[in-house]
Amino acid sequence: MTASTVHFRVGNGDMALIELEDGRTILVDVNARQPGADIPDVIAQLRKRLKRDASGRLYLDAFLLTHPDQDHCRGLREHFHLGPPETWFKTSDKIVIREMWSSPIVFRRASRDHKLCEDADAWACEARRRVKRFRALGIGSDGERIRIMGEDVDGKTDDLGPILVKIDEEFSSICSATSQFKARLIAPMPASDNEEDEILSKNNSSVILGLAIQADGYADASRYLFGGDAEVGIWEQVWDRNKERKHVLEYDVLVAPHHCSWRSLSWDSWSDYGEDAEVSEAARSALGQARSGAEVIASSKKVKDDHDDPPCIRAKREYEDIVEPQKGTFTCIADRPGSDPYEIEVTHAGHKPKRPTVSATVAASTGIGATPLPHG
Amino acid sequence: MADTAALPQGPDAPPRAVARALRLIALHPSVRAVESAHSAETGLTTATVLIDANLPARWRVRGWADNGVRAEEPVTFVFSATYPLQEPYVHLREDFDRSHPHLQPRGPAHPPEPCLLLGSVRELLRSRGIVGLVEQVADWIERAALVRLNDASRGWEVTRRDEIDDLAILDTAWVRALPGRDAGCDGYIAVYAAVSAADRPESYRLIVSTHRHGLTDGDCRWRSEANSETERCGDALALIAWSGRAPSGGPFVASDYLPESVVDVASLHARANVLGCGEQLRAKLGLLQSRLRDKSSDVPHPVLVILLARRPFDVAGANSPIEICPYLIEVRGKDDLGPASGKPVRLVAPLEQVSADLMRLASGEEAGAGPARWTLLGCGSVGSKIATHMARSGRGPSVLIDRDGMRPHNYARHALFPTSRAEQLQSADKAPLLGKSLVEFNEAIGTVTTDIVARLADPATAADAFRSDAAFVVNATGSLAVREALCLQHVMATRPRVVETCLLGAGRIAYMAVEGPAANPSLGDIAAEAYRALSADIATSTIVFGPDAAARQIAIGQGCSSLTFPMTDAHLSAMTAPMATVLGKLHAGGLPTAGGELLIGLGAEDGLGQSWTHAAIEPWTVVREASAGEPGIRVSPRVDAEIAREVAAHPGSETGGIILGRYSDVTDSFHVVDTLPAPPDSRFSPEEFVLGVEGLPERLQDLVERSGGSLYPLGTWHNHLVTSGPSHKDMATALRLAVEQAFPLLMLIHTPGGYRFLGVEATAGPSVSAPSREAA
Repeated sequence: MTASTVHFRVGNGDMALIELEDGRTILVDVNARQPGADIPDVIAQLRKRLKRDASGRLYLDAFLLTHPDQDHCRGLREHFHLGPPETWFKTSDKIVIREMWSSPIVFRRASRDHKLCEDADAWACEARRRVKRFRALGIGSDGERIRIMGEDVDGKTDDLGPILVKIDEEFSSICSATSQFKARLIAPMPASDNEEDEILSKNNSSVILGLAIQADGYADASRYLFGGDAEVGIWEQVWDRNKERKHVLEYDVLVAPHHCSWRSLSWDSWSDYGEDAEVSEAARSALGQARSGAEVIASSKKVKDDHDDPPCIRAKREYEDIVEPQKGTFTCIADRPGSDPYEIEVTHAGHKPKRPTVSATVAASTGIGATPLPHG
Repeated sequence: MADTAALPQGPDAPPRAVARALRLIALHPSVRAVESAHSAETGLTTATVLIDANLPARWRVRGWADNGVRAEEPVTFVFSATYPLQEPYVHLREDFDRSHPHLQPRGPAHPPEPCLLLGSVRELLRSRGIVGLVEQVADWIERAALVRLNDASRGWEVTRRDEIDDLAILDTAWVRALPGRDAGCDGYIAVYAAVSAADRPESYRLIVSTHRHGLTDGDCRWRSEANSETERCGDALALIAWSGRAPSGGPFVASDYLPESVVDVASLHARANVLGCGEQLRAKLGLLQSRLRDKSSDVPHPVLVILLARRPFDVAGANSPIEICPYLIEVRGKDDLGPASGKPVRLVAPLEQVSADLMRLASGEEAGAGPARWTLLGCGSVGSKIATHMARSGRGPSVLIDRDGMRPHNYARHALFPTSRAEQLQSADKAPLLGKSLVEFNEAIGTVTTDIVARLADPATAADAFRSDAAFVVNATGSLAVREALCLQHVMATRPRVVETCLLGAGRIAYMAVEGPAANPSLGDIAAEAYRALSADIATSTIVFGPDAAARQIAIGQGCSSLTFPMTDAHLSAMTAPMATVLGKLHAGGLPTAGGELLIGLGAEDGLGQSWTHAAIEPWTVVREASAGEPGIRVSPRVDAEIAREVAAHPGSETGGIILGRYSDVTDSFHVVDTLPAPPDSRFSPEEFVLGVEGLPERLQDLVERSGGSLYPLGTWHNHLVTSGPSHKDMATALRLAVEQAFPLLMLIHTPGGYRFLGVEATAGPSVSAPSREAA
């Protein structure tokens, strides 16, 4: 099958499905709001794209939760199976997560002031269950698997060996099997206890993952950069760490961090400083390694010319500046017509948006019913 | 005309339908611009439509794909005055890469034309409108950009020859097997027909045989005749050329895609050079030229030239790397066939000849499976329909057997069509007639006209009545006599398994029986099971055995013989087609490995639909095989179980009942298919079981009536508490009953050591079982 990524319309939130050439699926975050007039049923859209296993269960091969915020895990308990696979039952028909990809923050949050929402709590609980199971029995079968993205403080993750992905480490397997991608863990960086309170908020604990997707025999057909909600301080650290090997930050598709927020690019508040706000050169460099024809995607509400942040009009302009010399594009998912998710196909010559097709119903299109029609 | 106010008017404006199309094209999301011009003189509207190729990022930035497709491709739509009934002519820019595999093979004189879809563009226009057509063009451009020409996983894309009128019909597997280690070019005999029609130029149709054409003077003598003003036909030469070894020693491989550029003999030679067989073709065309030196003809004669290109990997849709590229030269004598000749060459589309493989492919099945051989017994209406359905799906019979000649009334429902009067005068037999019509599906089909019953009756001729390599025989005779003959002991021992198909009850019921391995359950066993099932259901019982059926003189179990049961061909086909479907699956997957099957289809009264039941029939218990003077006894496993249950329900006592079924005098065997419980006034004791009479005559009468006499009491069963044969008491009872019965009486005795039995016939002495084949 053709490798593709599907970016759901979730307002200010993240939710993207990666479908690899071998059929493996990875979900990055979920933000399933109550469907309504302007809110599509993203869970229905997701389920339609998933396969069922031999036991008739819908499944994801992997689920990456970049960080435990509501707009990245909303709907987890309602729509995803948590707990041992044998407790799944048909009547609720929830989606099985074969392998969790989780940040190490789940080990710590419960005991701190920072309250987790219920969905995040459920994620942390399930992650701890799987890690405990691993510690007792070793790597589990599908539905019991977990990978921890980054080391925790105090050597808490030192015994996780095969299920731990360390910073700057590359991996290309899902559920213990080699797949059609190569991922690189760019953040979170190992934290020390004293700086934790200062900058390691939930946003800044975000997993940042570079993902090279294979297509038609090309290993690096398209490079994606998922940045969660990481803010400017983290991006400065990322630049600092990688400026001598900036190719690891290159991307064909960047999902703009924190829903196209100015706070990922600058220490200055957009609402306070407006156009006087200064861009952090280091953060911009970390987010500026666009390849030829690169695309920046804002998974956010419509970007308006106002004081709101996120999304921020100034951030959009900055990203447009970044891709302009590469003849790239900036796409805000909310700007697209209709309620379908934004789909991108990956070919050996790079990514391309799925061509909007015109259905046969065009002949039946009508202006009747759109506005009152006076008749004399 | 207010309704057209928005559309341009006047002589320079395109017709309304075209103007509307242009407006809709411009609205398509992939269309970047439309420019159009209308010519009042020609009536043509030419529109250049700029279509976004949706190139992947890296190509979009530089503006073109690796294969030259541009980020925005100009596509020309030419609308004629007959639009929208006729589709617009769609072509690409002149410098579009002509080596692209999805272009129409129009030759260099025509602009490159995309091959938009497998079906008809005209029909697409009707079903989805101009927007659907633009959608297809946009899709084509997008895919065209991504086509990678040498992709082994998708197969080599052959040069398209879809809309070419000149056709060569050949056995593609044979052609692809011709190339050996060395390059070569050989002649083969072909026949052709050339047809001209008012609205299109003369076109050729050739059939290539596997017989060699020596290119001798004699071979090159033209034989042709005009069938009519518009059609002529005759013999033709097919030259097939292939490449051999490359200088490296390995096979010569033509690994470059090339646009179809052959227009004349010179470019044909050039193409042969590229494909590695130029020298060989040149030699043969030179020889042909010398043969034609002294000839001249008013009408052209076709010479087919087939170049075989060896590709680096298998051609898409074929299990071979050989691409077949046919061309046609018209010769009239004194022709120049040399490498510089400007003599025109036509493109020819190769078509697979009718073959079992092609039929299976067209039927949606895998080609290439080695199909099992089978014999059709009975070439009447049901048999001919089944044979035709099977042959059309590449699963036709190998041998046809029938006794009768074709009669005029047979054509009411037979798969064959009436032949000419002259042919009807020569009485022809059904088997060879049907064989003749199926021979193009299977050249090796054999036909036998014989009275199969007579042949099977004699052990000497029965042994080779069926081919030993036949996987199964289909009995479509609808004849009870044939069924019985097939169940003769000496026949069952040597023949293949049999599948029986026939119609019952004036065609309202379709009957299909699939024998088990080693003919157990046998045709006779399954027929008994069928009668039991049919008589149990009042609806089917009335149809098959009721007074209506009787009025039409239905012999019990007799399939339809054409005069007895008038029905339409449509009805017969509808009832027969499902049986052919099942037979096709059996042919593909093999007969069941354990037990047999019974399928019964009930046609709706108004002819609109059927309902089918499909039951597995377990192997029967053979208490005793028929032998000289000794009747065979076959018991349904259901009866076996009922008797065992009844015995277990009366511990320490004898019990019994009545056994029902059929007796065949041909095979001298009992088929016990059912039991009736002992009436209430029966007596049970450790010493004896006395069968009562209360209500029994009525019940038996009812049973016989409901089954139309196809099932009847065969005798009684009872049990012995110890393993022992029939007692004197049993013997006396049997003798009493035997006098009343027109066929032998069967007394079945259940003992701890298995069944014992007593067969008594009034004319003969009793036959007492020795310890027989044990059955539980």
